[in-house]
Amino acid sequence: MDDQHLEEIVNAVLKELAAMGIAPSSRTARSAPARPGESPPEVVIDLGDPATPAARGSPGVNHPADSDGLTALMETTPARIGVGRSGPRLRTRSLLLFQSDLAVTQDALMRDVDIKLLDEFNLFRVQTRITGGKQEYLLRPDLGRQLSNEARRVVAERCVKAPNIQLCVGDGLSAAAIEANLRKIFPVIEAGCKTGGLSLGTPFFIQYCRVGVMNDIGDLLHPDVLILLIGERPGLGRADSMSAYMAYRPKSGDTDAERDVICNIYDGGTNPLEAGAYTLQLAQKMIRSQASGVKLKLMEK
Amino acid sequence: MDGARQMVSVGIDIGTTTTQIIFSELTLVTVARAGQIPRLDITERRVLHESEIVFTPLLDAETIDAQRLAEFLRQEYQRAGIAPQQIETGAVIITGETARKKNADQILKAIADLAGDFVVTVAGPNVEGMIAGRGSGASSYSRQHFTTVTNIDIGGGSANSAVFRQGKLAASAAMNYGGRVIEISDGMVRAITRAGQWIMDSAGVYFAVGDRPTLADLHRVTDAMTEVTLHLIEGSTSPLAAKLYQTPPSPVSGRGKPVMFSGGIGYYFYDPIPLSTVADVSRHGDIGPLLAESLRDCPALHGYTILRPAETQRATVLGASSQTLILSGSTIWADQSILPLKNVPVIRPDLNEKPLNADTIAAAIGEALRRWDLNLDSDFFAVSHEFSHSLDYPQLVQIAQGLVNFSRSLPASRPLIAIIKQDYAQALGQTVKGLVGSRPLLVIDQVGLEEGDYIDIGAPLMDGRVVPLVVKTLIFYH
Repeated sequence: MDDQHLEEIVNAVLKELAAMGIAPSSRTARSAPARPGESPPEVVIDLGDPATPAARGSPGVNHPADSDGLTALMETTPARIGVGRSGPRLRTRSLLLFQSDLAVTQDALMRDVDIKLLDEFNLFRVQTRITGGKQEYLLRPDLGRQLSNEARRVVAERCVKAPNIQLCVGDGLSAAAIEANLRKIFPVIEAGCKTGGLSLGTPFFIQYCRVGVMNDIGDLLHPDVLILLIGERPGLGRADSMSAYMAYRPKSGDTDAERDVICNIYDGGTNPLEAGAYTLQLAQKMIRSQASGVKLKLMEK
Repeated sequence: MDGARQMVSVGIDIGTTTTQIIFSELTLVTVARAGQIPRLDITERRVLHESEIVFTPLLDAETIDAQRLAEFLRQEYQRAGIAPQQIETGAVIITGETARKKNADQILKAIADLAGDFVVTVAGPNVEGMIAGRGSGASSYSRQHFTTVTNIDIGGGSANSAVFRQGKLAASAAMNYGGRVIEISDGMVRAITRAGQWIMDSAGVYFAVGDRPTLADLHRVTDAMTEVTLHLIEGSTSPLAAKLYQTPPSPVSGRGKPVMFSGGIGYYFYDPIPLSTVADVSRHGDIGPLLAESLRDCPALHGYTILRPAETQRATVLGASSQTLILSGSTIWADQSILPLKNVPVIRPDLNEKPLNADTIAAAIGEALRRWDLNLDSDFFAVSHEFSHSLDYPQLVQIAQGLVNFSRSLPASRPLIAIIKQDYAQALGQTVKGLVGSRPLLVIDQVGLEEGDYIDIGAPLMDGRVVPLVVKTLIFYH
């Protein structure tokens, strides 16, 4: 809708109101009512970026009884505490931050992973059985758990069979998570395989990916351990978080009980470099124990 | 609970005036939340046995009687029903002026068979203040209440301050005065320490050994001590305070923040006794109770929120017993064959504002090492560093390469030990291992260390994924 169109609507509404005898005030409702004897205050909306870490950490409560304590309390949680209010409502700053964070979340979800990043790591791209874009991806998780026929053909053709470690990357619910972490975690896993004397299969990228797709990959490639790096469902304003799902010799019919996961991988949770090294340590343990998931846990007891 | 493990820990506090020992049981539990990397936590600290508080046995004013001290400790082991071999961790603290007394080594030798393999000796005013503040409960109070608390521990001969902010030590300082700067029995002055004389001079009070001072005279002395206590709290100084400080004044002022008092003076601060005669004051042969009263009556302190600590007299020994063990992060790189290690000096290369490339890092480590007069053929050492920002992979490789380049200057069998604050040990360890070949390697994280610290690193726990550490410092001031 362009501005001119908008203005036409506004004018039409104003005209209608006037016809009904309701005259809009010359001062808009946005400015605060003037106290008797005072000239009306000017409305100044001058807010810095509320999304910077410093702005997020600064309390919105006026005159707190213990400002050090409040700041310390706020540092213990990403929840929106200590933000203050204006009368019964959110402060403008809180509202803007909320909207900005929601936008980050939606962007991460709806966007595709940057192809340049995939090229950097020589990841070829395949798709699941989703054909109708992100909308269908969100509505049909069952289709996201299966490779398309074309994908099966390409994977079978291009990938080394029966490696110790097969590494796959999936967009999942956050393209931003893959973009934020892949450059850090990928080379650590790659180098770790070398140090640990493990063969690494041909890595590739899966679009419209759900975790269950690991079974299809297992059936096709028979790796000892499959590692799937996948974007996590973004939280409000937090879209960088990635998971590493892992399974020992995955195959059709496997469920989450056969899998392990390291979640919350991002600088701020488990950092991606360290997560990469830990992932490999866990993979080696899976190979030694010939098990993953619940079975591996029970063996530890 | 799954994966729980108990450790017996001992704390021995050999103070200027009194000696105490406490045995604790620490419970270590594996905390595993779905999807998170499991980690180890100390979930419980339980006191198994605490000794009486006895006077530190002395041969003369300067020298501790190591044999009698060992005898006392041996007795307490028997009373507690604990064999020295059961002890897995803990600390011996030789506090205050005693630490400077010549026979610290002799003491350690005399109690070596009692203290077990992993018991460390800590000394140095800054560490004492921290341990007292953890034992008194100031540290946990500041964490639970999201606030800043200053703990003031005053014993017979030393006064330590420690400022805790949200559970973490923010600053500490120490002075060498306490309740025993003047010794009195039967109304007669038996001894005055050098610090006691300074305090008397500053208060304009004159008496000598053999004199019978009035209560008013003694009050003026303890009022002067109260004044320096305020300096200790607020990180300020005065001509008298300057003489008594063993460290620089605390860089973080506790002014206006809650204060706790521990140590013997703390005990009488919260549970005062009526003091109407010199005999009342000198029930322990010194002026400690009167110092507590002066502190209670001090108008400047009435503006402070004074908190009652969980422990007063036993704060230091309890801290030594239950609060000195720390755990590394749970993603580390450890060649287990080289553990445990004792008395490893920590060097901190200066990498501030330098580019993180391999050559700079190797050079900075080499330079830091030259500051220590170490014999590279026999002495172990650890390289410690904190990164100010999150790392990317090329930086990780540069750091690893820097460590490897540096290690080429070491004998081939010498382990490479790196300790970092941020959670990168396993990634760094893996990367270094790929470059370094057969050299033993230990990379641990989530431990912040300063140059001059010494550490003991225990045998790994939790399937080799965590190591227990005790940080100590053997720097003696002045």
